Amino acid sequence: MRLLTFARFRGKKGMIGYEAVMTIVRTLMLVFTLISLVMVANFFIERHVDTRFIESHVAMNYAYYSSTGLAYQDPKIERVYAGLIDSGKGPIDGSFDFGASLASRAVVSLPGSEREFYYEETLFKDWDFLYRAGLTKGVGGVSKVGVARKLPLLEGGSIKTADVKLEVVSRND
Amino acid sequence: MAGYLKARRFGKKGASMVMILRAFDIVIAAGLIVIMVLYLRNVKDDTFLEKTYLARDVGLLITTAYASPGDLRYCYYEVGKTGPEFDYKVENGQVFVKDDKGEVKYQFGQEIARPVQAFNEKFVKGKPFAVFEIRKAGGAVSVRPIRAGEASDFCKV
Repeated sequence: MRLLTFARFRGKKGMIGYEAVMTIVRTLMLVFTLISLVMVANFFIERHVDTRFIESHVAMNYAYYSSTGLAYQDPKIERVYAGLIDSGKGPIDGSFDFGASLASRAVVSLPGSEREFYYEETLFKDWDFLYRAGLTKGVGGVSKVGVARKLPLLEGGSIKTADVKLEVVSRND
Repeated sequence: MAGYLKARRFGKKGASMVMILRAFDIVIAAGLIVIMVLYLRNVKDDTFLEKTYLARDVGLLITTAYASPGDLRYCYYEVGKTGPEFDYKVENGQVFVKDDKGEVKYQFGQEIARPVQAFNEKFVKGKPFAVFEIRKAGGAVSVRPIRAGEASDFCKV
């Protein structure tokens, strides 16, 4: 700086010109610092709430425990046997509406037979494809939650143990 | 200071010009600090995250009520610093949470044959607590807002 000042900027006009240029440089540095601080502050601000995991579990609990889901309800005393799957119940597509926020598939396996039940079959297949393709992050990404359990299944008046695998896919908004 | 001292060697006019440029620097820096403080205050007062959380919380509670195997009653309290700050609306399977800065909505699950009854409740700011009674009876789920002072045998306000 001393070399620049004394060797090249002798005289009043040279001095003022130098200071004017350096003022512009200093202002630009200040603006750059402010933008950096705003970017750092934005990095720590949380604006998104991710509830896909909870939504999927609530959907699973609905299927397993609700009388309008797959749980068996005694028609005479209206008692719901939570966790006892009623094989006579059909798909829940027509009775419950989650909006277009999630889709699910239940695979019920018994010795010698396997059945699939869907909630929003087309949506499940489309989103399952996205999940298997690895598109799970960001807006439009898909998450998948799966639970496999051995559950009692009421079929033809007798209770059998079935392997129930329930998968719920939901999209990140 | 160094610039002023250097300018002294070259005359008074140079010195005053350098002082003006320094003052310009200070004004720019002060302006940028004010902008930064205003931005941070705007972020602090932003209610988008709170509204999103409340909409999802109430929506997921309603879906959970449908998932229960029998009847239930549940009191939901919105605890704010000065009391309720938001307006709530339930309509067409969606929960809307609104204030003067904007509105956030969230879709919840409900039975097609027995949908949740709609309501549109404005809570007055400053009154203590916004309370909802979520009730499942005979398979049907209802959400009832309860104001402070209103009689309720279950939810205390």
